[in-house]
Amino acid sequence: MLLILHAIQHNNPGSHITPADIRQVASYLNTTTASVYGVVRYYSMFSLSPRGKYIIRFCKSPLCRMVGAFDLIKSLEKALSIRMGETTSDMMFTLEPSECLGHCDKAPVMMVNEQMYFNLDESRIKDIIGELREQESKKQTS
Amino acid sequence: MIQETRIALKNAGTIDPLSIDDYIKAGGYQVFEKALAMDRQQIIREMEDSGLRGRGGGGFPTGMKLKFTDQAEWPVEGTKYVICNADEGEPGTYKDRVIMEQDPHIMIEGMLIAALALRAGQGYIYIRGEYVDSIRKVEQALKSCYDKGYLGRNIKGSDFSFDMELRLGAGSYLCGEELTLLESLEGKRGYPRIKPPFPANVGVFDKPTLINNVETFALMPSIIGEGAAAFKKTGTDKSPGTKIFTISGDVEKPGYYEAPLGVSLRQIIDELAGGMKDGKPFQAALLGGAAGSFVDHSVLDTPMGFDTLKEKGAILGSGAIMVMDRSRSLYDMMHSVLEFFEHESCGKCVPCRVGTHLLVMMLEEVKEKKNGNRARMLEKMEEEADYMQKTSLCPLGGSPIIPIRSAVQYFKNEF
Repeated sequence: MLLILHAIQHNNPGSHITPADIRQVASYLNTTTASVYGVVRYYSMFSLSPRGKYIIRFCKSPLCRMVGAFDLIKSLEKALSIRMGETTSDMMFTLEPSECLGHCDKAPVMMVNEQMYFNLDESRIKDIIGELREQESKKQTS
Repeated sequence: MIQETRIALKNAGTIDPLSIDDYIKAGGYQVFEKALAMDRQQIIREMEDSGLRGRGGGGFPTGMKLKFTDQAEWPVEGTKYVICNADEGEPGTYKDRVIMEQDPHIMIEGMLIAALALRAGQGYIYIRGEYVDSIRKVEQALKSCYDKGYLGRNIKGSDFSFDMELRLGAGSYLCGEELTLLESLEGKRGYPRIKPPFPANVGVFDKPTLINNVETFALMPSIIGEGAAAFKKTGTDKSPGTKIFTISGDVEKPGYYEAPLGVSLRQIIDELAGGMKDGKPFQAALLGGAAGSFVDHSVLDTPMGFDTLKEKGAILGSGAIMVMDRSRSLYDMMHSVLEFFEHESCGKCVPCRVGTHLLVMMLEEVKEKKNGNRARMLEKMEEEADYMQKTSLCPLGGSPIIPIRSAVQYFKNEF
């Protein structure tokens, strides 16, 4: 079921799972909507509400925290004008906390969609967000 | 001066992980082909003789697991299963990711050898959803195994048939616990099962199942290829072989290093990881991840093995080493470890659900208390965590006691 849910979520523009998806999965797997809903709610990578085009998963594990993850999260929140767990009003960015992403030798780290970013500091974060925004505005004008 | 000894990582960095031909050129799948002609009981005996202990953190003898799964009655319908636990989520640990990203075939060959010994028909690799690169490479590796006839029906003209599929996690630490992983693999919420029965008898889809960590499987081709005796030459009597240590924090060269068990923490820090960062003094290390132990300088020269560390009130666990210099706050580290458990507790057992939350609040209270009361509060935390360990179903409820007890033992006055 997890593979199916991953695929559905990946193909939805809002990177989330809708009530209609849940009903469809339940009927396909011959199970109840409640059990599918239960699975979706349990795993933190699945979302029931629409998310931004770029999902930022910021590692807040003990090691990343030791080297300043919380300060960086604050500056990210400021740069995007959202709080942890929220999505920007233009549906561009969603900021989510993540447990250890397994790159502790290059901490602090974050993951933007499928791309990892290492050895972060405030200026790198500003650059990364700036680049992504620029990419998007270019796409819109072209 | 110690050197790295690479067994699980022998091809890492020297071959193209996406090319099965590269792996075969480096001697890959030869051991499996040799094993096809071996008596399968001999494979199990060899694994038992090697003394290999599970590299996921538990340290259970791998050969014994293999034997129990072999002795389990053959299911009336279906088959026995071989599962690779690649749901690496223990904070500070990234050895399985390195294996999958750099040499996925060595893990698959290990699984094939185990499957051959058990005559299992189906295998799964369960990778956490966040490991995008590992997923991609293992997917490609499985595909090329089918193309080259190392998976599927009548492998290499023998009567052995074995299929293998990839399954993904979706962001749950607990699913790295073997029984919870089985639930998740069946497409359910990640709630732990009651143990016993053990997976060897009642595993995935209620069938006998062998479940091992990535690193454990990656060591198997060398053990069967070169023999148990050769494997036992490295490491210690009770913890033979090598271990991949992932070291991070305040050292000059954080990273992954495969070294013989029995190596000391001081050797890993000074001789492999280039010493303390900027020459700052060592304060503490958290060994084994969040479900790991805080140790001070008195453990620097203790041989790193499952039992030797246990005698010191510490654990080897997954091989994670997080190093803290004098400027780091142990309180903050402990706080994030306890918050981690609070977040990852699945909520099935009341003592863990309530206890993990309570421990965070208690620690915050410790900070506000004065001297005498502070020590009393730490003791209370230890009692609470001990109670959780005794009354929770799975290892998560039993985990907070490990960092708490070791912190009380080594750093009572630092909180």
